[in-house]
Amino acid sequence: MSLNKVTTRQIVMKQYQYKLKAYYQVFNSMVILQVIALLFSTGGIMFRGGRGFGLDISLNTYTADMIIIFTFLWAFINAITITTKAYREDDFIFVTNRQTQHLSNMLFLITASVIGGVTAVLVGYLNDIIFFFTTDPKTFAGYSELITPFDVLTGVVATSLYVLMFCAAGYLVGVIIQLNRIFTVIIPVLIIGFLIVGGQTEGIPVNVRIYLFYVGETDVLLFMLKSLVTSALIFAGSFFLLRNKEVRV
Amino acid sequence: MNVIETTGLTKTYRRMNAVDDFTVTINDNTITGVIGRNGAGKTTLLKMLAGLIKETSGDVRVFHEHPFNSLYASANSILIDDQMLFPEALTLSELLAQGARFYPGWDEAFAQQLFDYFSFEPKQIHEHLSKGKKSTFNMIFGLATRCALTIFDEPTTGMDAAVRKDMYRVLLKDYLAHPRTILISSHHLEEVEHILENILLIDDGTLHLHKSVEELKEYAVRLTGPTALLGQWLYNKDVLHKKQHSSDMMEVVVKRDFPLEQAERMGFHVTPVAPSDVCIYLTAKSEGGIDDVFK
Amino acid sequence: MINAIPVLIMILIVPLLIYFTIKWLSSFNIFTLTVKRWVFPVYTVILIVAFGLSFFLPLDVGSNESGIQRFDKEKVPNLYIIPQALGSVDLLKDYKVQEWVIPYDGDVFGIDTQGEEYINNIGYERKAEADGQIEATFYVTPYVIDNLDMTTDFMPEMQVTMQDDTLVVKTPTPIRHNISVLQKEFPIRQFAADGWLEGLKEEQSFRVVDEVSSDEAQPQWINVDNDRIFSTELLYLKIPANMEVKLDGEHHIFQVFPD
Repeated sequence: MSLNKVTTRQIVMKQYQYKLKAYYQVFNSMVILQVIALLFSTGGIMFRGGRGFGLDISLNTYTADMIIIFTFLWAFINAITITTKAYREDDFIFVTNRQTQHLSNMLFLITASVIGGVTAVLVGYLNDIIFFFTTDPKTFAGYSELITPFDVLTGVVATSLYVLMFCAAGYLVGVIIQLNRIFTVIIPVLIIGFLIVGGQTEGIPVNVRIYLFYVGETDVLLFMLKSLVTSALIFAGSFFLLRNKEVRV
Repeated sequence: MNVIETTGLTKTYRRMNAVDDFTVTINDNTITGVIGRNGAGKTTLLKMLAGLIKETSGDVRVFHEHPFNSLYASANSILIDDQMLFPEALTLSELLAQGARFYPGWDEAFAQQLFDYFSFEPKQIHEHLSKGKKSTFNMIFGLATRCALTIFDEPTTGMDAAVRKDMYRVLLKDYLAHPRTILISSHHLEEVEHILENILLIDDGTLHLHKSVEELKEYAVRLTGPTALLGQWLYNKDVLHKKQHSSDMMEVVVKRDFPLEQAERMGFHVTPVAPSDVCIYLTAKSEGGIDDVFK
Repeated sequence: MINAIPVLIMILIVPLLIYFTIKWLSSFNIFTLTVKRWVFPVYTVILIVAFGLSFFLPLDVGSNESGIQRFDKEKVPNLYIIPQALGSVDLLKDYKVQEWVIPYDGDVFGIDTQGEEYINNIGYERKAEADGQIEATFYVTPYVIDNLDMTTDFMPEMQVTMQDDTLVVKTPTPIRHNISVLQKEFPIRQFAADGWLEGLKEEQSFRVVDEVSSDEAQPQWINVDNDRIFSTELLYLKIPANMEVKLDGEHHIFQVFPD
């Protein structure tokens, strides 16, 4: 009989590579969702009219924000998925403990966030091109704002970080549901309650404050700090909750 | 070296003790059968040993570590059962490849030979296999890991008789070639008896007995004789089982803690009791058996 | 509270819908193992091609057939005030749209506007000489939305003619001017667009109202209000020294005295 020593680092990396292979289908569902979002974003999001001399002006603004939103939802749902029984127990066929499992899940979600962020921004270009070819050239004016390549790069980083926060949130929700099924009911109720109560408070409602805290941040570095700290806290909370979870019960 | 040590190990589910104050020590390089009826607590015990679930109280050590959340224990042990969920995205051959990546002792040639022998297709998905095929694959996987502690929980569920026989042969041969600590649970002792060295008998979550198969063969005897005589003689003997053949003939199984000649002198007919029967008698809920229900 | 309802729908229904769509799609075994493995790589290639192609297409304002240009000035002159305030229209040459030279030998003329548009802002100055020519110039400041000039170069022509003793201004029938623009996704705009936070607050209707429009000190300028600059028009006439404009109750006609 020979006993083998393994390190946490080794196992986390092995699990991470394993997950990239075994959870590969999450990227297929991302493709499906982004394509659905692409179909949805054909409608203009904003219409503005005005009267100039001899002109009845209408300006329609189109954006692929829907793709971003759908990518967030994808991130949220898939993070929940990887906390479900089937996925959690996969790991226990191989070498694992709950710590390495959690770390490798986190690495996987970070990777998924980057992939989600990059593809979401790129689908935006596909959307723009499709729009260009399907719109009357006389009415097509192009990008209303000057966007530099640096802005796009910043956008990719920001989108990935948003996606990461949604992954973290989904992961936490998934973990809580794994603790007790009753939370599948309680969590939506809490969210609705929060929005209702938030809407009745004095001044700016809490949910809007949260929204403005992230979406209203125009400094890239501060945004990175906010989103990374948020994600890290949520992941830490998830790990704390799941550290004693039994499997194959 | 003691591979497994538990002291007062207890696991409670909804106020029921599935495993109750369980103290046992298992040495390395032994093959032990964990025997008990359905619901006796075998599975719960094995899952605690594999670190899948956590004890309610007491202590469990595997390779001197607490197996729940021990990477060391996880790298050196595996639990094979019919609840194993393999990822649906990977084919069988990819699963074997992953096994090789994770388990340092993985025996690729061995796995491949058995894989071919039991005619698995590399591109098959575990989820789509029949129950028997799943069990066969799981056993191959478990054996190929060469884990110092390999635990099989009812490993042959769903297999047909021929495969079952083959698998036990494989298990024994592989054990002899690469000695390690193996636990096999079963509720059919006779099926596994021939490969076991030791037996751990569990009932109602408690340890009933932990003996070698040889000892168990000597554990009890069956006596047949006239009811009146035998009944009287049984005074202060440890009776495991009693059966009335006719109004004046009776058969009893008693613990063998007396010289056999004593019984032979009384004119009783003495026959040995198979270990599997001993286990059944030891864990019977009441004296007698199913026949008593119809009286 | 009305604000929260669509959010609720988003939060509750859409994920469920998506979840079941995915479940439903994956229940078909149309995706063989090979197809499953190639979906994502093929998709990635398509995206990269699209990204590359976007550099070769006239996707920027000013580069395409629509002729829309960006308008970068922060303010434009208010044509209703400038001529009287400054006593000159020299400043307005950028906003000149059309001009006419009309010979006329009477000493007085009236003004009549016809058509669907209406010009109510008519200024005139007397030239030094009596050359028998009325010089009419039409100025319009652009209508700007989101820094896009929506009117310059698109306005239909107007006609100014002298009929008997009346200057007839025939305004055009308004035409519809549809323009579609693209915006990059919000995580890009968040760090690139000016006034992003203000826009958001406005969207959430929590903007602290601060008047940005009429700058009290300089009423002759129109500032950007709410991402827009409104259009102003001026018909400016230079009439011979010996001529009179008949004032009427319909039009606001004023005289400008150059220094």
